[in-house]
Amino acid sequence: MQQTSAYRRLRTSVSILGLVALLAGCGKGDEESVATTPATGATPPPAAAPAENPEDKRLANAVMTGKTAAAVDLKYDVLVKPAVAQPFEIELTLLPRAAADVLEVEITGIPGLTVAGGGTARFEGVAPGDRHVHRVVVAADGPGLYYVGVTARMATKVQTDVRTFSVPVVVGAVPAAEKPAPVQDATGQAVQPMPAAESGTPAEPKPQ
Amino acid sequence: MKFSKSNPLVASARAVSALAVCLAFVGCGGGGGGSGGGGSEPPPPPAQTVTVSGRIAYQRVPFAALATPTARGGLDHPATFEAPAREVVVELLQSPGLAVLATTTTGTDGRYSFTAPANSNVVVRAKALSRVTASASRPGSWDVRVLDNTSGDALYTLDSSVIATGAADVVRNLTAATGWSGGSTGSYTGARAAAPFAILDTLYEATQQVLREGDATLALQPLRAYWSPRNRPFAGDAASGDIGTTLYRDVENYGSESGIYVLGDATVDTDEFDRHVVAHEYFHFLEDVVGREDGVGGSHSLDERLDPRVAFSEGYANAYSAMVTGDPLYRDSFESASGGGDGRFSVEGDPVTAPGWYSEGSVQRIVWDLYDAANDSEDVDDVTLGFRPLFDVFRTELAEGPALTMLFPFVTALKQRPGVPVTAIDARVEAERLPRPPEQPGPFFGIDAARMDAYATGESHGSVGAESLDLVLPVYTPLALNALPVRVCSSSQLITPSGAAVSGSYNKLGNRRFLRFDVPGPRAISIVVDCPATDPTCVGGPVPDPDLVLWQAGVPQVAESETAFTERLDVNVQAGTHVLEVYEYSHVDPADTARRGRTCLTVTITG
Repeated sequence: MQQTSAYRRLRTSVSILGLVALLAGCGKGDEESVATTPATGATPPPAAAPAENPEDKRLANAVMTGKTAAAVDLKYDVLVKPAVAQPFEIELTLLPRAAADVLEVEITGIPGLTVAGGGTARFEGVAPGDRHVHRVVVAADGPGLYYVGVTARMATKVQTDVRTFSVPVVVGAVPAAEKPAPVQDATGQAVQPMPAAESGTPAEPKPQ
Repeated sequence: MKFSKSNPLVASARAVSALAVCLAFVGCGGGGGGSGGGGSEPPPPPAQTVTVSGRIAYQRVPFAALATPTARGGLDHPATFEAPAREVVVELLQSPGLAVLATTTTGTDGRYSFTAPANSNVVVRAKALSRVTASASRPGSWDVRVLDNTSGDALYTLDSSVIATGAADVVRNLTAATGWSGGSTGSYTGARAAAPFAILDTLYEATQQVLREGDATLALQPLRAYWSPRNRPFAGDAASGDIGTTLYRDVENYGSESGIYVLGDATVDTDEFDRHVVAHEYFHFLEDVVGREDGVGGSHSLDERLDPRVAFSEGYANAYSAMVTGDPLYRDSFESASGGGDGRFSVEGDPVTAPGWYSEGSVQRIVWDLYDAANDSEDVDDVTLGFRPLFDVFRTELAEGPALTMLFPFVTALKQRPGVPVTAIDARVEAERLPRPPEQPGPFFGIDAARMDAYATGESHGSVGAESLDLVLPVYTPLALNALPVRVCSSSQLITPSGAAVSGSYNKLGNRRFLRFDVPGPRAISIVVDCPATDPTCVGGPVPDPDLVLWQAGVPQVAESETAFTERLDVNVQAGTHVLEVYEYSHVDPADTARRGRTCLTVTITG
């Protein structure tokens, strides 16, 4: 997916929203807002907005563009202020934009943040406009910024699409992260050296 | 080792090597001295140089074989294999200090060779960089590299340990390992050195494909790819790894930060071994620097009604990924606590439920069938054009014409190429359709190919019910200079032929409307887009905020003020056909939770 030219106001709003969702620390957010509603009549009333779930209005927005992915969006809300070593719930709302036989969801922690319950969910026969709410319980070992991984897999008879998300969660006071300056080579270019598995003759390499 | 007299890298490497040899010789003072005796021949002088050679490779993880179509799939770590690091830059470094003694490039077999000073300590460094300058025998050129966006855009390198050259030739093979241990249920426990080299090799393969099948003389602009194990699917600060997803950022808007950003977070999604995904993004690079792409990005999937520019770009990119990999089954791995898996679809076989010119799925099926050698009656595929004519249209008519980059100008131009089987192309394009059931009259699913022009003048398929028809068709509404206003309507909701409502914003069909107009000569014009209070679709909330984009052969000029009810652009234009894109902002604002319904905009152009 290309992020393309011309739409500077959109891009600005996207960036700001992404930052807001993160910096707010309350952990509310979603992907591109898309709602699908059943038809209520032959002609939509003029100037009436398509129905949005009022619940969604309490959630901030964040937009991602990317590779071809499953037609499902995600909104999330951390229901209580997270504290160290205290399990807390994250509410995930999955919003399919297309029909699928099944929508499977897996939630994955990262080192320091454990999924304590609700690590998977499965919804049969999803349709565009559905709202599938799932709560996951996580617990953090210490203060910090964590990302909960969410994998949404939509399967039909002919294809399987996946979309992945990272849900940021701030627990306690986030320690200031110090980024080490990258190594520079002899020409001043920043390099990221990676160790090689080596073989050959002579066989015994000396440590650097 | 790639050896070419005309390669300046090799030439400079030789010069540096020679200098290093001299220094080594002076520094060591010749050494030797006879240790033998007995009147025999004197021992041979110590070697002044030795050869340091070997092979640079990386580990690639293939996808698991699929026992059934619904198998979970995913990366098959136990089947990891070594692949050569093809045409990557390798340096011979002095140790300590890491001064560059020589530079070369691996061959397509990953092999390299240096002449190194004897009795010295050196390090071999392979860079995640493939760079070839044009030569008479090889006129194409490229510069592709993989950087760490979370560490100051540092270039990934693969380093040997210190090598004591001694007096004999040295063989040193370097392999970039995945860092994975534990078999199929394992995890990443070591440095993920293979990742940048796997990405680089897919980009290299894509580069070779476009040079081999498209144009061998292409001088491609430098391409940067960014990967980090911290790259995760959350949109934010890319320097922190919040890249959103694997994507391409264009040169115009991102400058030195442009390039392909690749997911690497092993807790949720890694894409370094997903060749289709990386090749897909490479196509967007080609659009940016060779062709043109007028789309707006945004989330997209195969079976949605999309902005036709997005559908074309993304569908073509999927088909292109199959051309590069030679595999029409697109696979995208993911990670999870239960072991991961993959999403997948076939650009050859998988039909979509809403086919048409607005469908990414239809575009990928059409483009692939136009390209591939395998024909099939099911899709009325009796055409094999190969890559060259597709690429020629991509970089000429599509890149230079006034029509926006959609399926229409592509197919129209392709049919005008000499020798192409027009009837077969029409038949294949029109096969993307659904039979119309008698109980659902009105515009249905499909594409009009036989009477197609670049502006879809004759297009009659809208995939919507009658009540939404004017949100979709015509694809381009004609507009005349100094003539009566034209009214076009947009929405973030479409009613399907079966009566269901499908909502979508930003990049979905009906969010934005297109108009075209001709200007007989250069002049200043004024474009006004109103949502007048007298129009019943312009009442209510949110307050209407019309906006516009003027497109002149792919160059956009945006008028996106926050002024309510109106938007205006005063601009000088050249003679010719131009395209106007208009929209109500709440239909395209990804942040909005309150969107207007059907909103009709009145457009006038004077000048």
